[in-house]
Amino acid sequence: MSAILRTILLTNARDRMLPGLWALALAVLLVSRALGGAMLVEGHEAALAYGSLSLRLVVVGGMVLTVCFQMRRLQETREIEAMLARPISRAGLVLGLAGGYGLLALALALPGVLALGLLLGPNGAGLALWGVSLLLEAWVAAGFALFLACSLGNAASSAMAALALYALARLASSFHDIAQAGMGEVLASPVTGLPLRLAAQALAAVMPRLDLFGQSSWLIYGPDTAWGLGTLSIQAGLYLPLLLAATIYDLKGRQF
Amino acid sequence: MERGRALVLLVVLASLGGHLIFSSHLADLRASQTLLPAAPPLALLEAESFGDRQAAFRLLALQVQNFGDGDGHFTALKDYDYRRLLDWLALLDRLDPRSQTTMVLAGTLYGQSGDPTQTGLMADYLYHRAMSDPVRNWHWLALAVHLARFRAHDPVLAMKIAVDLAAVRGPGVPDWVRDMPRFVLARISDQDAARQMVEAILASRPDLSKSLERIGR
Repeated sequence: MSAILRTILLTNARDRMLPGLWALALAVLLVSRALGGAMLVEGHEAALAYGSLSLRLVVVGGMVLTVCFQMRRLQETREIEAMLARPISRAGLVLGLAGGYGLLALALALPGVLALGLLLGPNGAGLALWGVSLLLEAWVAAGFALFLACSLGNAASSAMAALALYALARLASSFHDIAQAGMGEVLASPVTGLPLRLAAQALAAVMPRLDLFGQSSWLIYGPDTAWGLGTLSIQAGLYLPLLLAATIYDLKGRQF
Repeated sequence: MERGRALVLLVVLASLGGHLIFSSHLADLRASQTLLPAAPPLALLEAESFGDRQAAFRLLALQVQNFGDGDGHFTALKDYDYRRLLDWLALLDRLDPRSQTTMVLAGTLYGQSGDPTQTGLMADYLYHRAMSDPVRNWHWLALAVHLARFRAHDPVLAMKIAVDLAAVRGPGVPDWVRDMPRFVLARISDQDAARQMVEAILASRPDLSKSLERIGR
C-alpha cells in the first residue's frame, strides 16, 4: 500500500499540482483581502468570508480535478494494472489511493488554512474548527471523485459529476426544506407535489450534509453553531466508508 | 511563405480587422441592469449560498452597498426605490443579525438622501433594527433621531426614537442620551445638530472615529 501512496505523491510532485494550487490559494486570499477593503465597514469580516468561500472552492475543486485526471492517466498508462500485478487486493488498491489523496488534501489544505490565519486574522478557535472541517469536506469530495473516476472512466465527465454531487451535498438542507415546506406552486400541487417532495426527501437523505461544513461565520464569530466537530466527524466518518466501499464494489466487477 | 499560409494569415488579419471595427460599435452596449432588483426570497438565497450564509451575507452586502454604481455609472439616491432597499436590508439582517453593516448602509449611505421621505424610511429602519439590541446600538438610535428630526423633518418619529433612546441604560451608554428628547425640540440648524451629534458620539465611542473617517472619505 505504501507503494501506491508513493505513486500518488510522486505523480503530483511531477505534475507540480500542489505548488500551483498553493499559489492559487494565496492569490484568492489576497484578492479576498483587497475585496474586503471595498466595504464601508466590517471589511475585515467581509475579507474573512470571501477568503473562506474562495479557499474552500480552491481546495475542493483542486482535489476533485486532481483525483479525476490523475486516475484517468493511471488507467491510460496502465499503472493501475501494474499496481494490481503486485500482491495487493482491489480493496487494498482503493484504500491506498484514498490514503494518498487524503494526504494530498492535507498537504493542500493545511498551508491554505495557515495562510488564511496569517493574512486575514480570523478567530483562533473558529479557524481550528474551520480548518478541520475543510479537510473533512475535501476528503468527502475526493471520495466522490475517486468513486466516479473509477466507475465512469472519463476524466472530464467524472470531474463534472463529482462537482455536481458536491453541489447537491451542499444543498442538502435546501432539499430538506423543500420536502418539508413544499415551497412553490409545483410542490403545492397535489399531482406533482408528492413525487417531487419524495424525490427531494430521498436526495436529502442520500447526500451527506456538507452544508454544515466550512461555515465562514466560525472565522468571524468563533465556533458558535449548534453543531461542531463531533457532528462533522461523524458525518464524514459515516460517508467516507460508504464511498470507498462503493468504489471497491465497482472495481471488483471491472476487468483490466 | 507558401501560398496556403499567406492565405490563412490574410483571413486572420481580415477577421481581426472586422472584429476591431465591430467591437467599436459595441462599446456603449450593456446588458440591461435594474437599478435595484426585487430582493429574492430567503429560501432561494439560502440555496444559492450552498450552506454558507455568512459568505452569502458578505457578498450581498457588497452588492447592496454598490447598487446603482458601477461600470462608470453613478446613480443619485433619489432615483432608488427605498421600499425595495428596505427589503434588501431586512434580508441581510436575516442572514446575519449580529453585523452592523446594514445599519451603516442605512444610516450613513442611503440615509443621506436629500428626499425627506427616503430619509424617514431609513430613520425608521435604523430605529427598529437598532432596538433589537439598544445597549449595543445606542449610537445608531442617536443617528436615527438626527435623521428623523433634521433630514426627514418628522418630529413625531424623532421624538418617539428619542424617548426610547433616553430610556436605554447599560454599560457604555452615555448619560447624554437622556437629553435626546430635548435635542429633538431644540431650534438648531441641521449642520450644527450633525456636528453636535458626531462630537457627542465620538466622545463616548472613540473607537468609531476610524469608521467615521472611512465613511467620510
